[in-house]
Formats: sequence, structure tokens, C-alpha cells
Amino acid sequence: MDRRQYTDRVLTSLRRVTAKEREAIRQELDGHMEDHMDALRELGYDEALAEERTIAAMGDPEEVGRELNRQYPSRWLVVKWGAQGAAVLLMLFLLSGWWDVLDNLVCYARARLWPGTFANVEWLARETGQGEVDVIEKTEQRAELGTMTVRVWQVGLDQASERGGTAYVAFSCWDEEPWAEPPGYIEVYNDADGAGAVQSMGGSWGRAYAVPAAYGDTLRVCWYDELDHQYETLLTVELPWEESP
Amino acid sequence: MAKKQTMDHAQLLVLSLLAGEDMYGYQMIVELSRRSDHTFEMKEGTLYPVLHGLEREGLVEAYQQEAPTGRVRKYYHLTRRGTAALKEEAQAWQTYSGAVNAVLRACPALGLA
Repeated sequence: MDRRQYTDRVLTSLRRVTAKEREAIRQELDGHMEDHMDALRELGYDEALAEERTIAAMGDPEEVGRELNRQYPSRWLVVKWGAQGAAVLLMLFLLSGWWDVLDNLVCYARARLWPGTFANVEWLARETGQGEVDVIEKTEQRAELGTMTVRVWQVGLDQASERGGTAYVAFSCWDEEPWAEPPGYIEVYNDADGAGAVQSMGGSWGRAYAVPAAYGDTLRVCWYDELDHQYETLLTVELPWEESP
Repeated sequence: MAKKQTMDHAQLLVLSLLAGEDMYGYQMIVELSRRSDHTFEMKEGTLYPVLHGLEREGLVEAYQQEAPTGRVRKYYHLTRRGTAALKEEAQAWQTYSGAVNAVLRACPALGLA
């Protein structure tokens, strides 16, 4: 057995080390044997005998390997491999466009379960300096737009009288197809006079609008069809007017 | 009651060698043999599991240094934590060996008293 074979036999027992650690151990053991052989050469030993005595002094390579192996707990290697695997998967995920799908799935969940996280009447009133809104109600009014569902989930009225006030509406939408694009332009108008929203906030999957309104008015939620260049009415939204102003 | 020993003898001896200066593996073997008057002549390969275990526990740290001959060696350095562990273990060892000696001295058959 020569030096190389000795280190090979030690390394055979090492199952929990990385390639870098394995190489470092090889270098260290080999360096040690080289030092020992140098000392023996200085004492007049020839090369073969110096190597033989050095290897004998090192001890059983399997035992050294087993003892070394115990110093490298497997959990670190598992964590390392796990982290590397996760990094590769993340890269593949980002590169393959699945990020958009994941984003859409998150928006889908928000639109169905927590529509207020996109925008809501309270936020819009606060943003526009209106402060407290007189009446805010949950509602459930839906329209289908292909595979997409548009849901008006909140309405509000402020300073509503016959002279007019402000009506609020918040909607969210989702698509059954996880890779679908957002619905594009959705607008809200006063059904009575066609007045558009004066304020709005939110994103493509959920918005809130403020529209001038007079007592008894209803609102229209429209989708702008970019191909046909025309608006399609999705919903007529009933507002929470009291019986008499 | 004195603290119990938690280290094996090889670990304690290695830490004590490094208390004086940083050393590489073969140097430790030679020095250990010299200081113990050739009593401790361990199988040299078994030094490395001890060193790597101490390194993993943070009691020693390693660095590479090139010798004048051009050979790059891995030196071991006793950390602050290693110094504290050495003091504690040396104390425990002295207590233990003192107790063993006391028992042996009291043994009439040995004639050590």
C-alpha cells in the first residue's frame, strides 16, 4: 500500500463530506505523510522504507476513515443539498414563467377570499380626504366575463341626498385559468347621467371607485373591450339608499 | 463537587499542545511524543478525527500557511472558547488523577505511601 492507496482507503469510509471537504482531507493526510517521510529521509531511510514506516505509523485507514466520518454529521450535508436543490428549483421556476402563474394564483386567492387587500371603500375615502363614509355595506353581485368572474363586494354612500353625493363601489375579479392575464379596463359609471368615477385605487384584480351620485341612482360596472373598442356592461349595482332621503 | 470530564484524553492533549503555539498535524505528533517522553505515541491518522471534531465544536480553528519549502500546511489555532475548555478540562483531570493517586497511595500492597 502506498500513500495514495492509504488516503483512498480512508476516504472510502467518508460518506458525509462534500467534494471540497474530501479533497481537503486528502491533502492534509498526504501532507502529514510527506512530513513524516521527510523526517525519516533525514535519518537515512530510503524512499520505499520511509513510505512503509510512515504508512504503518498512520494506523488502520478504515478506522481513521470511520472516526473522521463521525465528525461530519449528515444533517449539514442534507441541509446543503436541500438548499442547493431549492435554489435550482427556484431558478427553473423563475425562468420558466411559472412566476406569473404563481402571482396569478395568489391574486386569485386574494380576489376570492380577501378582496379588500386590493382596495376597499374605507381606504379610498381616506386617500381622497373624505374621511368617514356614511354607509358602507357588503354586497355580493357577480358577472361572468368568459372564464373570468367579476364580483362587486362592497358599496358605500356619502353625503347622499337629493342634491347628490358620492357613491362608492369595490370589486375584485379572478380567472379560472391560472395563467390568464388580468381583465384590462373595468370602469364604473353612474347609470343615471353617465358620470364616470372621480377617484379610484387598486390594481387590475381589484379596485375601488368613487362616483358622483344622486338619491336613487344605480352604478354600472363596464368592461372595455379593446378588440371591438366598446364598453360592455357587466353589472348594474344597487346602492344602499334608504327608503326616503 | 468538581466538574466531570467531558473530553477524552486525546482531545485534552491536543488542546494543551495548541495552548503554546499554532501547530500542524505532524508537528503535534512529534511534540506530543517528546513532551510525554514517548509515552503517548498515537496512531498518527487518528489525530485528524480529533482535530476535525475540535474544529467543528469551535475549540480550534484551522488556516493554511506555506512553509519555506513551499509546502502548504494546515495549521490549527486554539480559539478563546478552546482556551476556556482547556482550563476547565485540565482542572477536572487534575482532580480526577489526584483522587486516583490518593486511592493508590492508600493501597498497602503497592507500597506507595
